[in-house]
Amino acid sequence: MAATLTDETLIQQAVAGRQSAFAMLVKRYEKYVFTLALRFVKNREDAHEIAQDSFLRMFRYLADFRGECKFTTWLYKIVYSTSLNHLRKQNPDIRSLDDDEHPIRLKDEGAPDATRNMERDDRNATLQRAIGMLSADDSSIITLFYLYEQSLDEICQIMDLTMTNAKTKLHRARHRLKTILDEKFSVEIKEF
Amino acid sequence: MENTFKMTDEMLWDYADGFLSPAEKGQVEDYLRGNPEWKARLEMIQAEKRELFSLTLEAPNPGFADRVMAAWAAEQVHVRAKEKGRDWIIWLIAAVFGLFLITPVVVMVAGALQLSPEQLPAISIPELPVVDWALWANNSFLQYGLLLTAVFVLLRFLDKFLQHRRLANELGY
Repeated sequence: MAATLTDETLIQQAVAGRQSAFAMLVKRYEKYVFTLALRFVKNREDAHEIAQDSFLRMFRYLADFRGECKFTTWLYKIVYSTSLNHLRKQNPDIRSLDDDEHPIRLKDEGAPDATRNMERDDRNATLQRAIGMLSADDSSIITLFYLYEQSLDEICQIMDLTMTNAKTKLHRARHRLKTILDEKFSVEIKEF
Repeated sequence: MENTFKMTDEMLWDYADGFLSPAEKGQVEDYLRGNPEWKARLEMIQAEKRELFSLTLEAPNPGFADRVMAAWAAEQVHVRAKEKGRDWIIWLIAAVFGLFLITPVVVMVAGALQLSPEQLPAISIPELPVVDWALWANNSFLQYGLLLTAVFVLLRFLDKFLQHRRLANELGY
């Protein structure tokens, strides 16, 4: 039943104050929101916090969603901005993810040890781990484009980029992903 | 004319992602027909793309949705309490404003009721006491009351406006 309701219907019901509609929206998008948050902070505890904050902000501002863009684009923009605020709290010098003077570097705690448990990992898991080693900026653009299938135009809206910037970032992110795969996972992935 | 077309890995990715214009797409396809090594590279890119598209989502801990809903319910209680406070201000404004409007009518009716039957002519309708509206309008109590009401209303609108600005800033609109 819940799966048959469109996002638009759920949004209307939620705005009208129906609690179950909010719950269905959370259930429907919890993995997307959590994964995107995890791309930024690289540890599950902080990602849970960001995901929860993002949903609360979504609820607060749902009545202001006018349908000028896709609901998912609007939601990912909230996650992106919440994650950015979270990172700024940790490092007040950060102005944006594009800040060359204060680039966001990943914590190593989530970074995989390439020599451990190699046999157990399949290609998908290896790729996930390699993406996890990218910067927040790179991993989020790859996640948005390939995993969430957001168009370049939608990514521009979410990340507040120009089309040229978004394209460049995507190229750069792919290049860095390839480098990581070559350097750290060459045993597991020969072709990447 | 010299052909200056130069194939790059990035261009192949753009081709695979559908970013190229029809003219550029045509150029790439022409080039690929004569260069099997680049065609092989394209196939590799497409395989890489399939891998990226098949990435799986990370699941939050069990009970995450319930925790979000609990946090939302708690926030709603807080918001309602705050709103209640705001409602109280609105009711106060309405009461003050209503008082200023009703008072002259009450004064008028009370004055009429105070007339004794002896004062009433036998057949004429009793004359109601006249309210001096000009005097009422010049009353400083009324003037300050209206001014206070206007300030309250203005503050309420300002609060609402600032809430929207905050939202716009947070979402970067």
